[in-house]
Amino acid sequence: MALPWAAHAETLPCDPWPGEPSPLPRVTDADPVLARWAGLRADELAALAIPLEAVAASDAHRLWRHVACLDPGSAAARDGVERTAVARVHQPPVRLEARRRSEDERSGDLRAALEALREPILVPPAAAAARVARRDAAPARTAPAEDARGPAPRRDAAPDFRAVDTALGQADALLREARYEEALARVEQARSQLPRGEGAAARRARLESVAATAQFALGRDAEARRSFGAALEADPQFRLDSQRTSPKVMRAFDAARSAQGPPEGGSATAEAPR
Amino acid sequence: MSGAWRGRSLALLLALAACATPAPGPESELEVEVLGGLPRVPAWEPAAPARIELVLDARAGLSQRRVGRTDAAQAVVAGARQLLDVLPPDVPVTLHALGAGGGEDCDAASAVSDPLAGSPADVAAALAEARPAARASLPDALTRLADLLARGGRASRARVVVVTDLADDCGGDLCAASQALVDAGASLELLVVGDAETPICVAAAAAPAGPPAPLASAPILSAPRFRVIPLARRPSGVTVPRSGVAGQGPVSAPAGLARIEVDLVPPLVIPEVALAPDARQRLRIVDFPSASPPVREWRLEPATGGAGAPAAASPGP
Repeated sequence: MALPWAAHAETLPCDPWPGEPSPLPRVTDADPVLARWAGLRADELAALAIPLEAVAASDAHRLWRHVACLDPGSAAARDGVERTAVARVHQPPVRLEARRRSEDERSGDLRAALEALREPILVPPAAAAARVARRDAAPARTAPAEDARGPAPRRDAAPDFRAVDTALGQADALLREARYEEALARVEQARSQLPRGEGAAARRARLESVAATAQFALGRDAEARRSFGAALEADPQFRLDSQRTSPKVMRAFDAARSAQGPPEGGSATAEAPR
Repeated sequence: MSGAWRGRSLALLLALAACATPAPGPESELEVEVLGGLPRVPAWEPAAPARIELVLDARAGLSQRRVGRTDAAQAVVAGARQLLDVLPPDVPVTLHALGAGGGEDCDAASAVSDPLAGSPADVAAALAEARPAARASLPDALTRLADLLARGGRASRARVVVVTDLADDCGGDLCAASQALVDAGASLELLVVGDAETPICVAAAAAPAGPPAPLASAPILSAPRFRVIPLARRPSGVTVPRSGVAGQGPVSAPAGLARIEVDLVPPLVIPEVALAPDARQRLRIVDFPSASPPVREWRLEPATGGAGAPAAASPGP
């Protein structure tokens, strides 16, 4: 798993900073003095980056990226770069569902709190009903009637999954070629193209499974587990092929299945079209 | 005096002079290379905490757009509230409500409400007060926020969280706006409600190259002065130190034992090294004064092809 990251690290801009030797040495340098310097410099910058993550993520990101230049095989640098990404996009599902709030949900850590942006957005049904009632009361509103399960999918046309299926095939191929970041990008794109209708849940599950596999390969284990959870949420019957799946990934999938639990009775849940 | 006598006298004088002034000994060349770390741990002003700049999409028309079984306005508020409910209570939050500034449609200057700053709980309570009033450009608003943060010198502490359905009301370049925020030093979290396609370039926005500002102001000391002081006194009794600057070429010094002083902080003094005759040697110093514990190592090696064993070295790591 270090190989894909190392390949990615090769693409990082690795110009030396002021005062550093040029070209920038690496810990693998054949010159033992330069290699020694690179190791010490990587340690020095990593020690600065860790406390900075909570207060100046962008600065921490630049430090981690430079550590990755000095030590491309460093798992700490890889994780640091990913933890402190300067731009992230979240597009979770939106559900009509009451939130179950514990007494104190607040995180003690800003970075952990921001991970909540990946969680499904829950809109309380009462608030939605009030909004619908207000809208229905408005004289100019001539919206078509909706059944209790939300806007009905169009029945005059079957959902078109061709774009999603193509993307899934491409993402699978990218996974086989160990191009994990690109596979994730294809999944992200396909998620946004997934229409509603019969067959959507199974495809959604496959997309999340591909994402999980890529995330595991990139060492983003927590994200991978969430993706498996999303796969099972979309399609509780979804299963991995144990013959083609690594034991580590299988274990994570089985753990996600165990954590999934039985569906809740009576809770109104519906997923936004993706 | 005949010519023969003059010649013999001159030869005698030259011989006497040669006896009085010993012939110069063999020379050596020495160059110094310093591979340094930070001279001190840079100050990052720990008193200034990270802060959230929450850009809430409250544009006119949001409530008419569907997101699943609800509308985009509710989804946006719910998404923002979910974040505010889990933020640490001491993280300051500033709310910028896009489309609630009270201006005309697509007027960039008045697109965003006056910023409301407070605790996460304060801002959560104020979410419902964001009244949609006008259509507005999200990219323009983000570009203006990037400029505001950069001018205020607080960008590197800012986590900009945008909650939106990404509807394109008034045009603008979302990719450029995202990059502007990142260039200013902020980081961006874009929370999209609904199924709008997000340009891939948003997540691909790259942090500026080069060191962060506090590091740039504490540069590595890589070119200190150094002196080579021969230890074997010449017959004249005069010892002339030779001096140079690290990284700027060799200096000549008499071969033999010498003391070397390098103006690091604290100074490096190597009491005795042997400078090889008619050879160029390189003193390579690795110096990390702010490491814990500080690291300072050196080795003297041939200036060319120095891969072999050094002529002398500090105790190994």
